[in-house]
Amino acid sequence: MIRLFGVTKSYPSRGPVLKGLDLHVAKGEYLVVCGTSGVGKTTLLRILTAQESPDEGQVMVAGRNLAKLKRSAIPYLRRNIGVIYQDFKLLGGESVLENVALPLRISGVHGKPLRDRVDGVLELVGLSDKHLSRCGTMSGGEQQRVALARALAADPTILLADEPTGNLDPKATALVLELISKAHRRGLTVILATHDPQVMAGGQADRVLELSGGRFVRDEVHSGVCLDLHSAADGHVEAISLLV
Amino acid sequence: MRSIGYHLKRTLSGLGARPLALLLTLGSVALAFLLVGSVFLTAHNLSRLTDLWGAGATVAVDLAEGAPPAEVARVEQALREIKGVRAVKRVSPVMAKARLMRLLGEDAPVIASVEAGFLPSSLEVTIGGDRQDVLGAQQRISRMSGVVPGVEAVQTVETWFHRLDRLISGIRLAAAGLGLLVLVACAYIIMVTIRLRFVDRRQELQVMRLMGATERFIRIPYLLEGMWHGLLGAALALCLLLVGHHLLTARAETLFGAGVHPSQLGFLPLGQLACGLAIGGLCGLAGALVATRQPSHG
Repeated sequence: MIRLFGVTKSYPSRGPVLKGLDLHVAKGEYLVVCGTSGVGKTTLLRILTAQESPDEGQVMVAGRNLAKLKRSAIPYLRRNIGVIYQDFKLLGGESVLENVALPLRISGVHGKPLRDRVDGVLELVGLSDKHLSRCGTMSGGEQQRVALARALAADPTILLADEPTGNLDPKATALVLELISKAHRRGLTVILATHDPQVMAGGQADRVLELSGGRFVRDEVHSGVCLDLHSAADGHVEAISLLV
Repeated sequence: MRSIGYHLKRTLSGLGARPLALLLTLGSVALAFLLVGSVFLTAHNLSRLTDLWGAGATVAVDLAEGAPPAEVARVEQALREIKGVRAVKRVSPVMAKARLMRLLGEDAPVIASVEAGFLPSSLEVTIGGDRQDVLGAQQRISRMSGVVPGVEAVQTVETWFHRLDRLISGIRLAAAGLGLLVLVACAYIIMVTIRLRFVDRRQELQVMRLMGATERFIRIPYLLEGMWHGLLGAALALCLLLVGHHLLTARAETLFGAGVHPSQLGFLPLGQLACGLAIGGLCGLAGALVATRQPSHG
């Protein structure tokens, strides 16, 4: 579903952020990318949504090489990707209905199919009774659930979550993580970027990758295998831990 | 096409979002269009009045003394063949003297004892049609003087008519030039208004882009909004112009003298009104196109 080959990205003000990243995310996989703030998690997600181009390397998303993608084709790529953010990025003055319906309208869905789809995703996130509420007046947890409903509305194949629980209390965090897992169980490929230990320990991901110094330094498969990529990069796997 | 309802809804919500800015923009556009419309309306009515005044114009063709009847008949025939000539009437010296005495009124006895023969025989030519016909006929008749056998002199109001024609053309040219300037100014005003709204909502637009909205999808409501600004501004200007026209028409005789009757003044024809509205809309659209043109960032 997603492949990165030697992706490098640097900014004049920050220097190199990503250094030759390789990554393969299978269809239907739930991947958590963790790391401290400023380590390049958001940059990675921005590259996947074609908001940024890598300085070097190739990126394949849903079978499309982003380097060869025409500018006019980028919107159509993004319709396959649902994104949620720490700051929700909702239209605060608009109703829940209008926010969730937006990606559907963009995709050309109108009338009854639009209403049915909005009802479906709002039911999924437990906000069926909030159609007409103004997003600006809702709690953080509710807003993130609206954002998730919006991300799922156009039936994307990939869900990217950039610090989705960064502004939420533990209870809301747990609920949002549960909803993301629910979406994943429906077949969605999920990449969640976080620095939050609660999310990392949530244990619902198939795999956790730790990003540090522009490289993946830890690749932990949920089945219990943890690969120390510091050593793997040198060709010698020194530590493979079995997590029980 | 099904999304047009959604775009219209967004356009209307955009128009209502900042009523003061909307009023200022509409007011500026309306004032600009009112200025140009007034000049065009003035030219239109001057043209109408000239046509009306020209319709009853008469030209006197003085015949050479002793011109044989056959020659006079040929001149008369030649005059009738000129476009715009409505009637040709022979005026004998006796008739001319009688007219002159009527005109002199109390002073008529001064010429009462003079022989009728001191006045030349002439042909009184009535010209009608629009201003161009009248001008053309007068020019052709004037050229007969001293050239066509039997014609001694021609007395016309050509010079006055020409001046008026040049004045109307000048006013129309000024209106066109002014119109062009006004169009650029209106497009600029609308561009600034739309640009401010576009920048104001950049975060919302960015979210839409992230959800896969094309630039066309994002721009359509703003383009429609710009078009509405131009269209409504032009419509408001035409309404104000109509009110002004009615007020002036009602006082036409007081303001312009007995020579101008209210029924002789008219408003701009429908074609020009439709053209004005269309130009307003296109001007707004052009402003909005420039305002929303930007590279697609992320």
